[in-house]
Amino acid sequence: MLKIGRGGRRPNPYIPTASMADIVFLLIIFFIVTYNIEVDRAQVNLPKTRIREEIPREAAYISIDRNNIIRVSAGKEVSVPVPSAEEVHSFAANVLAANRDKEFVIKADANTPYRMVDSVIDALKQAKAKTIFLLSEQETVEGGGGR
Amino acid sequence: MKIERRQVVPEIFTGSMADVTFLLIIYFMLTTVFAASRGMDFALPEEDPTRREIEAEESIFVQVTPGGTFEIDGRAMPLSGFADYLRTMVDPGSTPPKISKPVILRPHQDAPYGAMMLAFDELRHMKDRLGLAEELNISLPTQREIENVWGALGVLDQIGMR
Repeated sequence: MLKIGRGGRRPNPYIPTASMADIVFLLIIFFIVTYNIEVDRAQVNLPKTRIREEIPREAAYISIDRNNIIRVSAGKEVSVPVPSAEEVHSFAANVLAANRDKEFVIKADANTPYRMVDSVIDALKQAKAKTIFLLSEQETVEGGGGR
Repeated sequence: MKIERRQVVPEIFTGSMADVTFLLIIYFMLTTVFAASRGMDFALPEEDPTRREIEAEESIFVQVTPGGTFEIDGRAMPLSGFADYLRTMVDPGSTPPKISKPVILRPHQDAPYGAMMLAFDELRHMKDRLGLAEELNISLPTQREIENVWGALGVLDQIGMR
């Protein structure tokens, strides 16, 4: 009687990894394309809004954290703290001297007293900035329930 | 005796490719941040130093108090009441409805920035809420502008902003 199975050649079990490199390369391309260097890493609790417009890449950043420390970045380099809101005016003037249409982003903590934001907006107005963006988070349904 | 040479097949060694790319992936995953990249845009009006005359015009005055509550034209009002109040401000007979009065958003200096953003967001949303022909004309004067212009007019004392 013929024995089937036993003693036959069994293929060695293996996991095919040939396509691994392709998948990983695709992932890398995804990350390279979507990679965004965050110029300001100030920890803030952003206000929540429903209207949110896309901020242009390389816009200048002015952040005010929960300790009312103001940091500025022209858009490419990492933000640096400035001693007061008056310094924001000279910073903005320098940025606008290089590019008249440069957009500015104000990234401020939701609990910051408005006087800090007011002084920054005023400095930008005096420097003749044209457009500012007030950075916000998307308001969720739960967040908007109290309206 | 002739020694037979073994020909080496040329190849690019790709065995470590996956390791290298995995390391790159790990690097990108660790350094990438899900940065918030959206916000409310606001066009700043250009200051014209040659313009001296100040036109007195009716406006809708929205204030944010230090406690984070809201007032419109001196009346305390929750955010949910903005639409109903502004509906009464629609220009009579305008089709589609239009509010030509400018809206002045004036947060108190000690008001939380988050509350100001809530009010600003709600006002920007009015075009859709009320089906207006165009967005509200919202201005956000700074304290310096208020002191320069409104102070000269004596408005600050009237509205208790001094």
